[in-house]
Amino acid sequence: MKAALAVAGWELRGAVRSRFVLGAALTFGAMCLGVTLLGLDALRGLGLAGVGPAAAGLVNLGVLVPPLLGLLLGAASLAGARERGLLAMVAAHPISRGAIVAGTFLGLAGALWTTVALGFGLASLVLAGVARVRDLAPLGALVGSTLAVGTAGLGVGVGISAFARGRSQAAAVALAAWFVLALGMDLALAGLAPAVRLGPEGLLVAVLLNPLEAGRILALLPTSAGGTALGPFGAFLLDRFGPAGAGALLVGAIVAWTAAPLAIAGRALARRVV
Amino acid sequence: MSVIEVEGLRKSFGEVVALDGVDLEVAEGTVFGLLGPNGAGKTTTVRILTTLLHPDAGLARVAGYDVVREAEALRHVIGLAGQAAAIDPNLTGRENLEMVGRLYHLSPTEARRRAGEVLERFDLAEAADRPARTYSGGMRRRLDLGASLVGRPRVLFLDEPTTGLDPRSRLELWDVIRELVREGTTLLLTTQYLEEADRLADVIAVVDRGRVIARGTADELKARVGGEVLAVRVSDRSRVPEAAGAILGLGPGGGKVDNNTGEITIPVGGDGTRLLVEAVRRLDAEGIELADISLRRPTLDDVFLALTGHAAEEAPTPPNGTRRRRRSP
Repeated sequence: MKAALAVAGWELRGAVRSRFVLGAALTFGAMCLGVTLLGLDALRGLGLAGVGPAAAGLVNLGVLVPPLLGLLLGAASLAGARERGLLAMVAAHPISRGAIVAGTFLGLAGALWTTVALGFGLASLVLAGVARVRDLAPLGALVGSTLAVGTAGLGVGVGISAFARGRSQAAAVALAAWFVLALGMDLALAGLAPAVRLGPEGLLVAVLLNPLEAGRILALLPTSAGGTALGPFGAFLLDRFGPAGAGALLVGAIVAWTAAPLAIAGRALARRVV
Repeated sequence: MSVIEVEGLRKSFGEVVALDGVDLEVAEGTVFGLLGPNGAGKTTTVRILTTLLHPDAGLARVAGYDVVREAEALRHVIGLAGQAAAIDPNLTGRENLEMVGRLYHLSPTEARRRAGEVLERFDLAEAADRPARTYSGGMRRRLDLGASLVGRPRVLFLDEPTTGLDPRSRLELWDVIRELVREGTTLLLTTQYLEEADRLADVIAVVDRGRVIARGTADELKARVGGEVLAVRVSDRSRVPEAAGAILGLGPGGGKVDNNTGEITIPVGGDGTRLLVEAVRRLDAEGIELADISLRRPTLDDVFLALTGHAAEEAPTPPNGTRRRRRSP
């Protein structure tokens, strides 16, 4: 455990000093600020109050950008360390391969969460002036689901990294995975929908197979009592399991998307040449 | 007492045979040099002995621990510096060393103390708080070597520690390694340079195609080459075959012509000066103009030529420093 925490500390320090993470944090912060200001401007134009449109914009940003960041950070981790000889150096010390994976994940999760916190922190500064007490729960769900879905992306990225031959290959696979999860699955389902009638089980599987969709529904769950903003999959979950059951199911799916790739990565690393 | 015992070590990567039955024995407190060209199996041997790879067959014990069954315990008593300087460029030199200390399960205070010691010892104290990416190649290599010592290992593995370094950095690193040995660390060193093995190692094993083909002290190995080597280059490359015909029979044991450089080399035993004069006389009689003629110490190539009949030319290196499986005749 001590050694895993040491690896985590190492990864975190290295990541927060890297240009990639610094650039990503600034870009994400700027995007959050931009979306918030535009959202509030639209709201004022309609003579309304509250944080609704700004929060909706942040949901889309939150389920797309942090997972991409997580995937890329994770993909570069073990593959990059292997290329630089760092992985072999670490593995020659009294630390298990599983602990190396766990430490790497924890350290990078810290960097990712810092990035997300910076982005949402900037947005919160703007929203603080117009937010009402009843907005706190949706905003909390937004931050929580964004962190969770980003962390799932990181888990998948670390999993990719354990198998990749090099950093470039890992990054390419990570990007492809993001496109599939962010766009590909929705497009595929839309294309298949006329031909294949997805039953209740099909709808459930479609949500659980995509952590980004699970994160989006999770973020919108507290604000959508009727399920109208949740889309067909979310509406089905809400109708079938209720808010608490749907929430638990979605959290479970995201946790599984995080833990399973890490477990596979640990096993792969134990068998692979480092 | 042997601190490293290896018996019948074999390792293949698919069709590629990396080790084909390696036997080694290294006495405590000595420096053991593993000498061979790229792809000979040196790195694979080190990776198995440092628990990074599992052997397919054979036994290996380091400091009394089996490298497979007692890997975790073994990792507490070994240090490794690989071919590339394995340091994090975004961290400072001090942070890199502290990190390694933590990997040895040292407390933060103890890790910091040892990092400070190592930085002083390796003349890196002034640069300690600079990011490692700003270090020169020699400094990075020293930091990497220093990192392998933070845990105060009983056995230290250095895999081609000076490859890619300039001559000055190489000499500095040799001094550091000698100091370590004086303090009683057992060291297994792999190298492609006979001179390096000669200067540092008590015993040298020459590895070729996954097998140990010779072992002994540097002097013993050089004796098998036949002492010094006469190296001749002629001005007109087209007359190399003629020159070779005139002088190749001079030495006690053949010689070779390097088709790339046009250099003719002949092992000359202890009779170098006389044979040098004789070579000049013969070439002069043939009217062949000399570009260069010298007596030099044998290189790895010369040792290989003497031991295997072929030069230690660099073959394309398969993954993990391995070679293709030899087919039966």
